[in-house]
Amino acid sequence: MESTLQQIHSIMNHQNAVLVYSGEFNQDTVKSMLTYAEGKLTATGVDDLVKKKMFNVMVEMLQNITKHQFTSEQQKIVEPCFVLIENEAEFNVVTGNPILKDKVNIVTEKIDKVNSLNPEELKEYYKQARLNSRISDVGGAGLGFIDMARKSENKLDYGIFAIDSDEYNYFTLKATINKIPAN
Amino acid sequence: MEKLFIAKTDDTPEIDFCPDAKEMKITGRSLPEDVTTFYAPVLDWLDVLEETPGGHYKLIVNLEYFNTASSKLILDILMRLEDIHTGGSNTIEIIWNYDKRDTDMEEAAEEYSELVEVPFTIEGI
Repeated sequence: MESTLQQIHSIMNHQNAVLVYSGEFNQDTVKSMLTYAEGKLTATGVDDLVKKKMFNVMVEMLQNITKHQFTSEQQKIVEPCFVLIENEAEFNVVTGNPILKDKVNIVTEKIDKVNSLNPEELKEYYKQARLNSRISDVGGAGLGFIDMARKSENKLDYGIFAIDSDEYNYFTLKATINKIPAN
Repeated sequence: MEKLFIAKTDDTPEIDFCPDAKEMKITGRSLPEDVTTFYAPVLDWLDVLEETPGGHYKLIVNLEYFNTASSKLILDILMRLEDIHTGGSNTIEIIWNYDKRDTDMEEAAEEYSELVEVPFTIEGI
């Protein structure tokens, strides 16, 4: 059986990956990745609107890592990563980062909730959540997963992996954006 | 009232609030690392506007992209403008321009227009 580390590495070594980054995440590295990803997407000749959806989803996913990553030594067991994959009919945006075991349920419940809603329900949920939201200490509005689900027009995929740590698991998130949008 | 101008960067929009023209323009992309700090001068300016009665002001939004944290701050700005408009110190109108192919942005503008009671024009360009 594949070890967890092999599974995480196999995501990063995906044969259709067009962009792979692993290491420190901050606003400057995020901006560089976005610029590079936009260049890659332009080169694929994909529609501007799909590119814009991709940009939306990438910003939320990347800023989630910069806002919620941990600065302790623990997280260096497996570094955060970002992978952009181009398949025949769709793009995948994949991120991975260590997550406190205590936080796993909070995060997966949020994603399960948005995955259970249809587009109309998601729209309503977003409106209500934004009205009730307060900007957190790390600068988030708590709307990222809802927005990713709305803009990608697909369910979000996630995985929780055990790593060599008492406190942390490794969390992967995958969004799918169709090359030809649904509407 | 003083003019408020913040030049645009890779991750923050241009802010151009001009009391002479009575126009408040927000233009570009908004994905700052710290939205609260970035938009604080904008909300401060609106506090001064509220205390400076008698004008008709236009908010002109030309945003090509904003992240979810900015989306919350934009709602705060619009609600502040609604307070000023309904409170009667100044009248406000909002003009939201978007790339007419960008249906996600059109929908975002419509959602805002449903939330605030201020004259609101949404125009695809």
